[in-house]
Amino acid sequence: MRKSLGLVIILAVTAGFAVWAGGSKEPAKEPSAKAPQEIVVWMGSWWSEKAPLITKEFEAKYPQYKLKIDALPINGYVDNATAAILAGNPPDVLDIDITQVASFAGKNLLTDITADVGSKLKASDFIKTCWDYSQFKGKQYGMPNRGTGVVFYYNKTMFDDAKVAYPKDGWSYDDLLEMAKKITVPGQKYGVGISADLSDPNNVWTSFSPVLWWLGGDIMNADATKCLMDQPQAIKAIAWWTDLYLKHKVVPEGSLGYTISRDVVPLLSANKVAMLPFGVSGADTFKKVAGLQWALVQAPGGFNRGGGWTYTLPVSAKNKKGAIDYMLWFANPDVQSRLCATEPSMIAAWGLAAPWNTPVYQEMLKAAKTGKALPNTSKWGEASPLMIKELQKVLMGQKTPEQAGKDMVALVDPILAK
Amino acid sequence: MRSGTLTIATKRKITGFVCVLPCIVVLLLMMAYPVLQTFLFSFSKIELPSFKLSFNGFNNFISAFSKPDVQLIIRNTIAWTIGSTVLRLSLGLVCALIMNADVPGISVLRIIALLPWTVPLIVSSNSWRWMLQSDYGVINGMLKLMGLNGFALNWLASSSTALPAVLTAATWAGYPFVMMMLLSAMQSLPVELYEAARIDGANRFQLFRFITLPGIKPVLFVVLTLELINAVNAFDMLFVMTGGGPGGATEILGLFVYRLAFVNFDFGEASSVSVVLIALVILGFVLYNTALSRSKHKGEAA
Repeated sequence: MRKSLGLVIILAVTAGFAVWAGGSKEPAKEPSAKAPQEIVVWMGSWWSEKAPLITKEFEAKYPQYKLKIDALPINGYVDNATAAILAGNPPDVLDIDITQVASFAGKNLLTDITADVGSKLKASDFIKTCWDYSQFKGKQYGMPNRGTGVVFYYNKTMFDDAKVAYPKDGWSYDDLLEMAKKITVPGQKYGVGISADLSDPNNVWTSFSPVLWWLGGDIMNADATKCLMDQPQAIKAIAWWTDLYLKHKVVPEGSLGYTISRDVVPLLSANKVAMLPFGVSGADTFKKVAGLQWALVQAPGGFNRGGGWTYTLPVSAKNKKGAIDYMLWFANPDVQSRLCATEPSMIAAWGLAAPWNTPVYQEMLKAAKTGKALPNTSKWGEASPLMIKELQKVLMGQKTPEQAGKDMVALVDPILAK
Repeated sequence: MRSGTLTIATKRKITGFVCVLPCIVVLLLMMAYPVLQTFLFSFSKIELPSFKLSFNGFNNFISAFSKPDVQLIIRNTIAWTIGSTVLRLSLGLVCALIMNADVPGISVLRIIALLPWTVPLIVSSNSWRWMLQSDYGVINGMLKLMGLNGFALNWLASSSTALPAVLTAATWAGYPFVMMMLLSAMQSLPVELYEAARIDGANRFQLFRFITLPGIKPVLFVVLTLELINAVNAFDMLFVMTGGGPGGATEILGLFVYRLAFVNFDFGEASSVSVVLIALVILGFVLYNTALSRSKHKGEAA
């Protein structure tokens, strides 16, 4: 009797487990109209302080919704988002870097929101780069919430110690090199910080692409069908940038493995690096460092890497209507001026409230408005690390700039042609 | 003895089968199904996001393994696998021999030796990355303080030192497991064998060579197999410390699969590389089993 009961229990557990593990094949249903409908939003962890305020204000305006914001760390963010979308369990609103819109949209992971969002907003209200790159092949896939530019932060103490005048708007990369040489004491402190680590490819482009543009080159042609890194201007740019490390030695020795945010920013805070290119997060970080004398200036050469983040609607999101309502609610200068954790995407928001209307952030707005973006192609995710590896090989002395430029084209053109 | 239509023996077999049925279901769902899915993906062109499959022959394999950096990746994988296995086994064996000593305070020492294994891999990877930082890392700082500036290298930013540097960190993180497995095996060996050998005049090396080593051989083979599988599947430490750089100097097959799947969104190519990895591991396991059976038969014949 006991044996039979035991067998029945085991069979029941096994059957129950198999049913649970098999999962439900029913399609996602729209939430019931009676209870508040949940909207799940994924954002980067830098939103965690503002998330409760965003939730409170949105739910006050839209009581039929319950907002759930997951502020996730940047490590693994894209992987988690991709896995969630492919598993059919994505958030309703997914905040992504604009450089990823083309990759995600090109793989049919995002919903076209031209009719629901794009047609209801004015492009001129937004910082151009983040608006343009929330689109792919003429369709709107994102509602930008962040428009970024890059400025150069500098350590005033290191400049004072070396008796070098501070950089001013309108300076050139040749000026930067001269200043860096005067400040650098090999093994102790360095004039400028760069990034060459694969773990944050955008940081590398923040560091390298403005040099390329300053020298008249570009990464790809206008329709991103051809890589241009074998052109004379590009080779000159590779040589100029890598010479900071190889010839002039004005950047830290470990730069090959450095990202700006993780490694170079702490070095500037510790009075070891005098200048670095970075976004508004630099200001937020440096103002918390006791005793650090710092300032910022527009990037040399007139170019900086523009960027941004944008709210997107993954395919198979459960609450599409709620997601659209959320995006349209956030497309408001007043909302952005009070609730953005980082640079607002709407130009008017910058003038409405602190900190955006303060002098430091007004400089950031200047940079954001003049920022130039990276190529808008679904193949960028695949091409970018290959090109960075070639830059690393030049930095290690394994290749000349000419070889690296030619090899970049040989590697990237077949990908663009696929 | 019969009972109804089923024999007692048959009933026992059925009961046993039913008892292990939950485990079989878990294994099928958690292991067999993903492996089968990977196998199917490797021969398919995959349409996202629906995962609609269309047969693609061997194109994924050809495409993945004809990429320009594949030769370097395979060389790195072989170097990593051999290096990681040899270093962890050697350090683990030496530590097990030390920890097997019967001296006061040895249990405290064993706990301390286990600590690297208790630290989460992400934490230890980041810690090692900071320590190995060439400009202001602790290791180069100490070397410079001791006047050994020539040894203060660009550990993670040089193609010649990056892989050995990560191997060092991986050895530190993984040797405690080997140590504990071999220590348990050593402690199960009969003390009388050692006493008899000492009476016969055997020195320490002879005790190790003719008693300890043969005694722990079965466990050593198991640990070797586990370490080889672990090395072939390595990902975390390399990803955090170098991301596969600089210039691909530390990219192994595990990181290559990640790049194909999550950077290139090419799950077909990623699956093809995974299938090859699985085949290599199975081949290694078959060879190991054959070698183990042969050595067992030799022993029995002697």
